[in-house]
Amino acid sequence: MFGHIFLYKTKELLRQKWCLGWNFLFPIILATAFYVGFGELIDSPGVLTEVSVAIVQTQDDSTADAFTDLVRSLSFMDVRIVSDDEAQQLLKDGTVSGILYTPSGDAAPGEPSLAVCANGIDQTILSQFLKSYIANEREMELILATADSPDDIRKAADLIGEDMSFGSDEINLRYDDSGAKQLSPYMHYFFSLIAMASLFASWISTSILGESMASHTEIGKRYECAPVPKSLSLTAGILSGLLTQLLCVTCLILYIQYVLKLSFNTPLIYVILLTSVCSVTGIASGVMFGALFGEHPSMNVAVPLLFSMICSFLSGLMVGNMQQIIQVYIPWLNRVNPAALLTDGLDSLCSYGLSSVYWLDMLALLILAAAAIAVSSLILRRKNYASL
Amino acid sequence: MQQEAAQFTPVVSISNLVKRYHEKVAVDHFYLTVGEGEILGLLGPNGSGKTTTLNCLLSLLKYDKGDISVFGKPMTPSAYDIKRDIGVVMQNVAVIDALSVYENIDFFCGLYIRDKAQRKRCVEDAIAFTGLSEYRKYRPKKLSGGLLRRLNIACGIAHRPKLIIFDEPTVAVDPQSRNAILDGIRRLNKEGTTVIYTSHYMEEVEELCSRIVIIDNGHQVAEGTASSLKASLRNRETTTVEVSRITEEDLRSLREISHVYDVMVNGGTLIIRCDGGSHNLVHIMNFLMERGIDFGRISTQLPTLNDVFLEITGKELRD
Amino acid sequence: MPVFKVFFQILKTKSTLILIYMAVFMTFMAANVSQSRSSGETMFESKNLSIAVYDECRDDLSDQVIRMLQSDNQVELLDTASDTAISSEKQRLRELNDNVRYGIYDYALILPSTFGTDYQYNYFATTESSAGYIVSRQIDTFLKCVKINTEAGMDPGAAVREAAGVAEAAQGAPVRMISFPGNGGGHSGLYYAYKFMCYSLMMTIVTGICTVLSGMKNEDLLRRIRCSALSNRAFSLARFLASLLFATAIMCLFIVMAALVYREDTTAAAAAARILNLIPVCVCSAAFAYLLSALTADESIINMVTNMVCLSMSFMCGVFIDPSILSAGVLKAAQFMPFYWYVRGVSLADQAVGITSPAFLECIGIQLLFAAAFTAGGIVISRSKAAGR
Repeated sequence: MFGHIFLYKTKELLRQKWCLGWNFLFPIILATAFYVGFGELIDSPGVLTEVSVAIVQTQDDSTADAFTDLVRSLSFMDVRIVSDDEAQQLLKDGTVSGILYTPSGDAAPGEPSLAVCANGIDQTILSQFLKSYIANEREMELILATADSPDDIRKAADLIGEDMSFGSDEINLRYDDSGAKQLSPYMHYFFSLIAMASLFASWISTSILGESMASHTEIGKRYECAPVPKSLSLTAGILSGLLTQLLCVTCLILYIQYVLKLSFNTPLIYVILLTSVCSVTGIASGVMFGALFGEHPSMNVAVPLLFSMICSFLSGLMVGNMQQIIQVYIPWLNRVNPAALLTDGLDSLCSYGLSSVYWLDMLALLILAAAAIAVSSLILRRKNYASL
Repeated sequence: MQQEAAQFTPVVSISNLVKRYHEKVAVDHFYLTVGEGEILGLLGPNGSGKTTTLNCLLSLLKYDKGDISVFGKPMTPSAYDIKRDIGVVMQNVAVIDALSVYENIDFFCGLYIRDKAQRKRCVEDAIAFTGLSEYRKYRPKKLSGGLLRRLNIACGIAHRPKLIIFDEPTVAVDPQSRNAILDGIRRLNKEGTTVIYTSHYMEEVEELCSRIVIIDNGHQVAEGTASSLKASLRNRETTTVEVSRITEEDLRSLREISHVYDVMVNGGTLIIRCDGGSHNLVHIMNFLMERGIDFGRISTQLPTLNDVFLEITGKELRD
Repeated sequence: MPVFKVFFQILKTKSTLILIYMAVFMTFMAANVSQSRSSGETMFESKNLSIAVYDECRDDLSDQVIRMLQSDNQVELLDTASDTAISSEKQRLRELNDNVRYGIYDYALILPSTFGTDYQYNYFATTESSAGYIVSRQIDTFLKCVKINTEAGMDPGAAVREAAGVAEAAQGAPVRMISFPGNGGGHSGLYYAYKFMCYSLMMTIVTGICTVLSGMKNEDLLRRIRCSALSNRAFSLARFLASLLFATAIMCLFIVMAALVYREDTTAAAAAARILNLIPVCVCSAAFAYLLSALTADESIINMVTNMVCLSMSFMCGVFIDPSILSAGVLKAAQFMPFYWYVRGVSLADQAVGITSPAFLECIGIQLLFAAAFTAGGIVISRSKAAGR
């Protein structure tokens, strides 16, 4: 009996256009849109965003040329050498972020200057470059003033010409020795998408519950008249929904990994496992919504949709760092948001490897699922079919 | 009205059933007994309590008072052994759109019969029975209204239940399909199935049912076979005559003819009600000819269940 | 008129649902704006970066580095003593890394205990982060000066002091701000509110209209209407006009909400441009809803398609993320979507280019073309369905 209902329910779900559309097609299309939008940023190694700058050579001399050459040598600078009027027009249009003036008589002799029209990161980069240039000049003056011997001066001059870097961002934070590279923060959008797709499972269980209740549908009456315990038919239906959902999210994960070629940096089995648990939470939530709102057909559509969208938004689907912000200011919200639990777990897993964070997130998801089922059971036990 | 115990094995026994929806009493101390092998018709206007009674019988509804037993055992929501032998054909079509005709029947039959081979036979029989053989792979959306109703029936009877409840199965069905449905019910009954048939179409109930219970405002107002119900009426025959003119004295004299108990004139139409007797038409025609009263068309009607209902309740069966 | 009236009667019964959708999408909008806005400035200030520092060295050199960073950044010194909430050093570093990756901090600096001797430090910054360049450059420049001073024979304390003096002198690098009309520097809350508004508006309008229209899509109901004296054309026109009126009302509510919440100084021209730019989105949304309802009456499919289209478009057209990070290919493809032209219009409005400027009018015009295309599509589908009956 259980198997009979399970098989037919699965068949029914796999033939429903809305089920295939929402749970299978929509996440894949959105993943493709994400990939088209910023997939390159995930794949490529860290490249500083180009800063466009105009250089105005106030004087035609070797100092100005040396300054211009220095700016051009920086790979992230997009340099245009133009007249002052042209530079101002480019700045007004937003084509360049700033105008560098080579050393002129207006500023202190030997000092370049910068003109900007806004305060922003690009402008700060340009000003920082300017400060470094001026600091090198000042340092050379200091050495000239204080050095004991010409050798010291020569050594100092050689050192000033060197491009020194004392910092390193190569810190191994992984729990394992896989040596996987740092995960791009843009992958978080994909994790949020997977979370949203998992929570779409609530749609499936809401509709299964609605269909099985005699007070909601005629088919529900057939179920009630049949010699099948309600718990058995519901369980079979919900498990078939879960199977369908697992197939859909697994396809999504495989699509991201093998078609879009975005690596999760970790064995896929752990990704699929955590996602499956989130799907269970989605299914359980749907059962609860069906029990609470099943008698209002519009709510059957709206509530699962809004639930999935809100949880996904709070986990960073649209505003990439939303989850992190909530973690700082309202951390408990992330503990009760199933989408945030999944993205947190995936983030930890894919960035650092398998750890207690992963298992704790999974446990929290299971607790949420159990709570939803408990609430549903309480409500359903009290429901009497009645109509007029 | 207390129902006398029938001289047959009761398959269904409803005793003193009361169901209230807040202030409204939907079923008001209702009694019903259905014998094995009967086709019982439950007739009543819209809102009379037919569907509520059935829902209580099927344990779909909690009721406030009364006892219901089926096959001699109390009927409860978890009485699965009883439910296994009941089939229900809902008023509204209850099939799954995503499954084909065959799959729908197989699915619902599978809720009753576990054995695969037996179920397969039952499904094939149900398809043949309802004439859906060429539509087995069709989805419900592709079927006409009549075929959909047949599918609805097939889903309810495939598991060969001993008791089948039909709740207004011919609503919005074309005459051909309707006749097929009624024939099918007769065949099922011949095979020994007990049937409860509810409708507000008195012609169907009259034609099909071996016994009729008329329900109004939640309680039983009449019970018996079609002929016994009509025989209980005072009005056994109604004669309608088109007349050009008739005097009061003529009307008084007409009333004195034996078995005539009511005479009225409605425009140019004379309506004469007789409470029995035979050859009433001959007596009336002789009277008219003797009095030289010109008349046109004449028609005679035997009483209907609507007349039964009208006489008992004062209102039409079709409201 | 009766169709027009009944549209709003049905709408009344669905009003709670529509209000819920509106509230949710307005909240999304507000959350997005709070993350993105900056206020306008008239003089140059270095971008105030948020830097976390984890100092295990605690000597003159590290103190000086921290003081230097504090001069124009927001520096948070993290406690190196054991914290009950943190179990291990690696766990600390992971949390720090996460906070940087997701923008809580722009930069995280870790000064190990050996920093005073070998000048080597570690940091976290997102790989394409400009903050990484800015702060690292600042620190490297300072440390270079310290190293040169030390190599030149100064004692460590003097080397650090002198390097600090050089750094302070370099802070006076001549930077001037040029003000162009309409450019207050940075983007206001209204800019981000209007940028996000297209998504919120379209979702609310399409969902609302389709919820109502699906209630009018019952086959028997349509047959009854077709048998009446009302022509098909009049019926469709009434529905379209009612949808447009509903869309306009929703648009007005969004505008009022944005104006109330983000009470910023804005020129009348910029305000007019923003509102004018929003009207085509409103019309587009109504037209898209009409197209969808012509295709199907299934509410769940409509919701699915709406979400798919709106979310994908929003990502690809720079509504959720900065258009500057999208590749040229994506931006080219995005030109075939109405949101691209809307976002462009919002930028132009913010720059106060004027509503009569060709660039701005181009944005409006293309959006209206999209609306016309959706409407035409809806008409064609309705007619072909009617012909097929």
